[in-house]
Amino acid sequence: MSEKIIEIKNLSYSYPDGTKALSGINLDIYRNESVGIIGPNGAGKTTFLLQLNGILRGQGQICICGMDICDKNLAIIRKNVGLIFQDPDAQLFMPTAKEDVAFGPLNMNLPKETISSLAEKALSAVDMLDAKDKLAHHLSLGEKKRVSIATVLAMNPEVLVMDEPTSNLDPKHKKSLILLINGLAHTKLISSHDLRLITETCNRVIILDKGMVIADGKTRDILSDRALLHKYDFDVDVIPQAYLSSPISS
Amino acid sequence: MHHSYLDEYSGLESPVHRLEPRLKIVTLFIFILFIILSKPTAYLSFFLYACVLLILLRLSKIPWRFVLSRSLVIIPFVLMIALFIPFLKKGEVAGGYSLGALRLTVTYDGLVVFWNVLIKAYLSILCVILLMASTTFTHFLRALEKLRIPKIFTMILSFMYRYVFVVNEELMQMQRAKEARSVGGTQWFHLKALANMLGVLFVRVYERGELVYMAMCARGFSGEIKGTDEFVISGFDVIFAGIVLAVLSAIKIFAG
Repeated sequence: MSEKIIEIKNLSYSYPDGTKALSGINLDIYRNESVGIIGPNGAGKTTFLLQLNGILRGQGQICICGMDICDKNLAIIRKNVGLIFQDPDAQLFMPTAKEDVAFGPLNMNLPKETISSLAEKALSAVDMLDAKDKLAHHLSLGEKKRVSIATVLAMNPEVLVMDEPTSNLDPKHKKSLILLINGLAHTKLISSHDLRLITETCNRVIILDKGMVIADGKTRDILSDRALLHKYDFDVDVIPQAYLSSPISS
Repeated sequence: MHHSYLDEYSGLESPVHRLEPRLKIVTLFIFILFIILSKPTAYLSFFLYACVLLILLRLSKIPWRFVLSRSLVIIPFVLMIALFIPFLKKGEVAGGYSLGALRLTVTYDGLVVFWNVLIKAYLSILCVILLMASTTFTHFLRALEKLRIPKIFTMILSFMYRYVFVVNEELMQMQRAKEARSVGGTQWFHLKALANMLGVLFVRVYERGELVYMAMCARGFSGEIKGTDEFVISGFDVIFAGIVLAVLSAIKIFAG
């Protein structure tokens, strides 16, 4: 197997009010994997993703590209882990699309010319170059999601971490976003309730519940385990038949 | 999706729009200084300043209706404060009212100050409208930054510009949700509901702030905000600003 890009050992996290959000997570993510994280609301998916570039810090050890998450490594880890928030109105905080995309590279202290070309390259990668001077509140939701992806692409990350990338999107925009995600060669972690998105973009699936990893395996294996999916009330009907044709465990 | 703007007419093509934002801010700031430093009785100079402003507004192609409606939004605030001046200033009495035991007198000096406040405020408002309507808000902010206005102020304005519509939309949605369930009820009940909505809105805005900060940190924000493009002052900018300032000085010298 290829090189480990994320190594998580015994990660636990409690919110300041004492609510336990994650407990004893052990996980290795390898380069070029595309990992779906599924689980009910409140399972700790978002909390888990926020650990990956040190926004939230719990007990245990997280190692990204061979570096522990600590204050000293924070800048380089945040460059390497591109985190895309679920709400594009949180992800896009600068007035125009281009300024937003340039925000990450600017924090990396790159020369001015490089920043501009990086920003335009990232915008054209998500097919949004025409909207570079548009104000964020004049973009449609689908466009905002695309620009959100561009904001982290511009930082040239190793890992893309997406929180519910297709939430609230209509089928057409969902489809084009899935195409876009599949076109990105990065290592990907995608949290979602949308099993269709997961089957079409991920080769590995992790089920998270009550802050614990319940299952971890190839997408095909996990999604054909009907009993498991029923136990967590996943919407099995949207999974393409191909995934269900393998023998069903009781 | 709403297409709301704060700077609706900033996309027009005109000499005023083309002016380099820093120079525009400085020129109009000086213009305001000229206006407020005039003597209250220098009626001719007020008239001439108004003419210069009207010419600039005309050049900028900003619709008159927009200018008028914007200025009418602000002027009541000035009026509210200025209204008391004629009654409070001491001097020769021009007239008075008797309201039972209360006697209100208006003085000539007070009226002059009243006129002075009003005309200066209105002309200054026109200057600001001209500036804001002819400059893209993002350029305006970046120009302020280049003029050494502390980053914290420009960032607050920038976030306000980004989120005012988001928050407004949230309020509208709440309002609709409330109306959809409002059947009867007393005025007092609705007022209480409104107070609750404002509370919820405050909490949401606060939470959004936290989330946005996380999103900023996730992209390497370390407390310092960095800007991108540079502005270049061209010969046209210098000439245009020069003419305006020369005209203003001439008015000051000859009309006093």
